[in-house]
Amino acid sequence: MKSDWLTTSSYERMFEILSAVNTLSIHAKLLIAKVENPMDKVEINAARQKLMSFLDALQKLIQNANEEQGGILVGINPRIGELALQFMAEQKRLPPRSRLFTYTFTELQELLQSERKEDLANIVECLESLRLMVEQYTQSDVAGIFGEE
Amino acid sequence: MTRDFLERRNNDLIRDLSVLLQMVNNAQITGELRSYRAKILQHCESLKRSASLNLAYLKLAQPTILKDVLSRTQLITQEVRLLSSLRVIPILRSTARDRLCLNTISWLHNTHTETSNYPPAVISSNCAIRPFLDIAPIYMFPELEMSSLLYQPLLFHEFGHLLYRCHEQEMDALIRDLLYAVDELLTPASQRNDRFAEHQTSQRQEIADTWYAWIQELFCDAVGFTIGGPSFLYAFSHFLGIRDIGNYYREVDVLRYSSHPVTWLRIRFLARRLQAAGFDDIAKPVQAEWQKVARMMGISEDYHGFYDESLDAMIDRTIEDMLTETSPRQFLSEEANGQDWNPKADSLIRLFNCAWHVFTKDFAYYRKWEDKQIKQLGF
Repeated sequence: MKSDWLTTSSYERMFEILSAVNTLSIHAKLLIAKVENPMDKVEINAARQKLMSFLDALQKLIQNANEEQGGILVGINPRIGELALQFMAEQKRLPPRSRLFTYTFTELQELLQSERKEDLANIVECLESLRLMVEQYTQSDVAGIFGEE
Repeated sequence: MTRDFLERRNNDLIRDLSVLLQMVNNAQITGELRSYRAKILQHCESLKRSASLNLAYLKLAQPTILKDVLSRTQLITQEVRLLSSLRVIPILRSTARDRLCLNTISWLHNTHTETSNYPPAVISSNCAIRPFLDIAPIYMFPELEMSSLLYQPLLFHEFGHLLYRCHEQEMDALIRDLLYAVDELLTPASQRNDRFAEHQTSQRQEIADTWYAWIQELFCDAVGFTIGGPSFLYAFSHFLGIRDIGNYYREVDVLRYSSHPVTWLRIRFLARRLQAAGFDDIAKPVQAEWQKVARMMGISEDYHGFYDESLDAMIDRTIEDMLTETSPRQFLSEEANGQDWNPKADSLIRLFNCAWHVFTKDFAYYRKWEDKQIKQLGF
């Protein structure tokens, strides 16, 4: 009896997050370039919602680890937990490696919902950092699904 | 240059998906797989649309979005590989031998509201599940056991993982309190405040992560018993009981990274559940058998601090709460007694219990009896 269930759950979730990041990143860049986005608005809103829920969950995890468990994460798929721990570490790093880690989660969620011209460049930078981080954590899930090649 | 490359790769993906669509459409499948095939065809079409959208993005000639289009292309590529290596296998390798398993999975999914929209799909491999929620979960089951009534209850354990995923947020919250207790009990009392503190935190995280997987396995065993009754314990014990020493004992380093608790410990939890349900006469001999094999191998129970008996009550209570949250179908007492299965009126659960009853009473007659029952099921 193998534990493919853990990898599957984490792979599927990270796939959704990366798709949402890509959708919003393209949307922000096309707004900056004033080029019409061929993607349906409904899909853009769904991607935004997906990312908001993910950030919300991440915030709760990090808050819980800091306040109640002395820096450890319990009751969460360990793969998602690793990502949250990495996010926590990046938030504490000086100087920060990206603007993404300088925002509180509330600020980040507000930013990602904005379509104001002055916010778009920041959105693009934050999404790029988030994508890089998630992609790094997806590597072992991808290897778990397909095997090492 | 990059744009041309991405354009080529997306055109390749569209071609690959067209080939997959053709293969899936032309496959000879058993009737049980029709809904699964329809879902896979829809998924292929949706991926084709995503690749076409990438081509539309590339036509906009905006260099700033190339990195995003690359990531989108990578995700579609992964999905195509996943289709080719796993998701289409239940269709392309479909044989008549799958039918019993497909029938059991279909019954399981239809009996539970949250899974009723998932069509059954199975491939031949070691017992496992890929609990995909986007299209449909894929069950894995060994070839020999696939067409045997005796081992079908092992699918109930795998179904437990699907139930967990369907209720993931609530289930994670339910096990959090237990994991706090595990953290308190199994980690050193003194919290250091020096350069070793980081090492101590990482050890605590390791135990929390190990137990996250373990508690889910114990829950899935409980789901197995709740749905299958005694037939689950028989199937589980018989399938794993004599295979290897790792089911009885693991060195501390192996235990630390184990995704499953030691099987002997799982038998203990299961047996206690059976005893509480009034099946002492079944639980005791099974436990005795495990002890006998352990004695023959010269093993005594030792979990190297990863488990402590004082956790039992809390583990059992947490599992009860998890069962309440997910409500797996509870076997009926008449299904568990192992007598007289009527194919026109009785459930599969009664059949599986009946199979173990016949098997344990008259091994020589069993094969003949099983063939007859499977024929009566129409396979």
